[in-house]
Amino acid sequence: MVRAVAAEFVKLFTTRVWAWLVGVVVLLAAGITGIAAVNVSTGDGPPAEVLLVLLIVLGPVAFVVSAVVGITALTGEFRHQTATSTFLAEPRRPVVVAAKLLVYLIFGALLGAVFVGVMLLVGFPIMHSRSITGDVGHPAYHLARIVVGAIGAIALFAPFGVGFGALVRNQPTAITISAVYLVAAENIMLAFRSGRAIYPYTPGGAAKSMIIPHDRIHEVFDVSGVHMLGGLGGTITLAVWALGLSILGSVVAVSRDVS
Amino acid sequence: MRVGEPPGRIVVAALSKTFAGGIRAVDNLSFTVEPGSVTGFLGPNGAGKTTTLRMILGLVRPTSGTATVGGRRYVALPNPLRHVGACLEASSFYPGRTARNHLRVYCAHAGLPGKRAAEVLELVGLSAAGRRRVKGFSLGMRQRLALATAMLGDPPVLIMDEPTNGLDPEGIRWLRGFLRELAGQGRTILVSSHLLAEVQQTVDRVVILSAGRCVRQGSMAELAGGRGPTTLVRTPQVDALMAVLTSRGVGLTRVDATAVRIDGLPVPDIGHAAFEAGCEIHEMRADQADLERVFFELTSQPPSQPHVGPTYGQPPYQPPYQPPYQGPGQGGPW
Ligand SMILES: Nc1ncnc2c1ncn2[C@@H]1O[C@H](COP(=O)(O)OP(=O)(O)O)[C@@H](O)[C@H]1O
Ligand SMILES: [Mg+2]
Repeated sequence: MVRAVAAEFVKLFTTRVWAWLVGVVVLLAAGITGIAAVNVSTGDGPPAEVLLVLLIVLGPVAFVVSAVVGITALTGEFRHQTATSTFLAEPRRPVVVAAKLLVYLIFGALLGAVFVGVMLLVGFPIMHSRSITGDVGHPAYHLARIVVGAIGAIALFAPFGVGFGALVRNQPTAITISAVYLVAAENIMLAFRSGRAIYPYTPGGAAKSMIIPHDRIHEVFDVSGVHMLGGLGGTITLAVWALGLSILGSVVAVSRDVS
Repeated sequence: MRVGEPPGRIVVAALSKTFAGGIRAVDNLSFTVEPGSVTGFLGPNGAGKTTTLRMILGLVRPTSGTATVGGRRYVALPNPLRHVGACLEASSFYPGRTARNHLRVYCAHAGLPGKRAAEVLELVGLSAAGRRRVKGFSLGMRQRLALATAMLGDPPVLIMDEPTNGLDPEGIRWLRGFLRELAGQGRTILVSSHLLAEVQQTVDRVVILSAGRCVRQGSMAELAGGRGPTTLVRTPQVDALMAVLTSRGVGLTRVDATAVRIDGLPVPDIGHAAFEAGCEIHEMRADQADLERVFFELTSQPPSQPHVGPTYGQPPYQPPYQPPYQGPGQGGPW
């Protein structure tokens, strides 16, 4: 397992893909936050509040990027036919999947930290210079809670992608489905009563409960009939998604013949 | 695991694979590859070679039967890269990674120091291209890189699927020398090909596959011996020669107006018969196409016919007695 994890790290850092990804995430975060910070007014609340709203509205974009990273990590092995060499080196295929889960959880956390970090570095100085300051009525811990929650959610979407890729195996299909699902399908779900009942347990719903401080959930995300989980509940739910898909994928798809 | 099994022995026992759609690619196949030998795994395209090799390597799950290396199934080998090196078709490299970095991935997998990558690049003559990205590599360079990957763990067993595909004549000559050298170090080598001529200079033994079944296994000499020597004779009086030989019960085939192929008779005897028949000999030589013909006949029979080859656990196929052949050509390269 240690060797498989080491090999995944070597794989990740011996192509330029990781650098491109970090670049994309930086541009995305800087662009979104820059535009928002220039346009908000004092009435929109203190900077921490602006950050929270931005993460809720645009977080799914970061989730998709992170999920795509995980999906590519797994499906790329089949797409480029490196699966043969990988499984020759480690014929216990669940070990390969487990190594990817761990490595991409770490890399996802890196992407999350970059995403949220750039938002803070770009958004706060701009808002400050426009005299949008203060945290009136919002204890400082909320900012820390939001930042940690967002990084955690983005991080967990990478192993979620690994699991989803393990199940689907076909790269374009997996990327398309996950993007459409995270950006559109979960929101459409909220329009239906049955959809609202399961929404808190969906990956996107779980991620939201990781980002929004629980005592403020009714203020920020108020959809009647939706009973959001707490931060820990959301974290566990998203982790279970990643693990569950990985196990299912390992049994159903990754174990298939490589020929 | 069978205790006491030599680490280099490959045992395939009653192996079968039926793909979805009912294609029986491998059918009750059994053979053994002994340590320290180069074994050619031969058969026409679609005979089931790739499927068999992939089953040995744990990439394809057998429908029934087992394949072991050193007494263990591949999946049960601790650190398999140090035990078995494999070069397979349809295995590829990430195009954006350099050759050296590709090798470092598998160094990490096998727990080898990164400097081993440079050593195997040197071994296959690819040092100069180590820092280049694989997407610019020619087919021959890719084959060498695949071989370098297989050699990373310095394995006692090497399994190669059609390694000469895509190599130019120079590359093929290089590969032959390389394989002979590795065999000389006592490694077990199993190399597949759909062309006997490609490997006959390299291999000690052959396992011949047709429609998923083993039709013959044994040494190269046994393969040739199954038919006895064959001699091609060119003479203007071909009819006279054929008449005298036929009267003695010698098997022969007319090739064209001036040539006949004679089975089983030592060259001095053919010369004597020709002398008696008053034939003027223009050419007399061992028929080089002979082994290729054996191979063709073995593998071109329809799969429904019962096959004559030995099966697992039985002694190798013994042809009816033929006088030992001492003629020219036998000291040839195989
Ligand atoms: N993944 C697969 N699915 C279905 N049929 C397959 C698959 N792989 C190989 N076959 C079939 O199995 C037979 C043997 O193929 P293969 O092992 O590749 O032969 P060889 O390597 O000797 O050319 C062929 O008829 C081929 O079409
Ligand atoms: Mg083949």
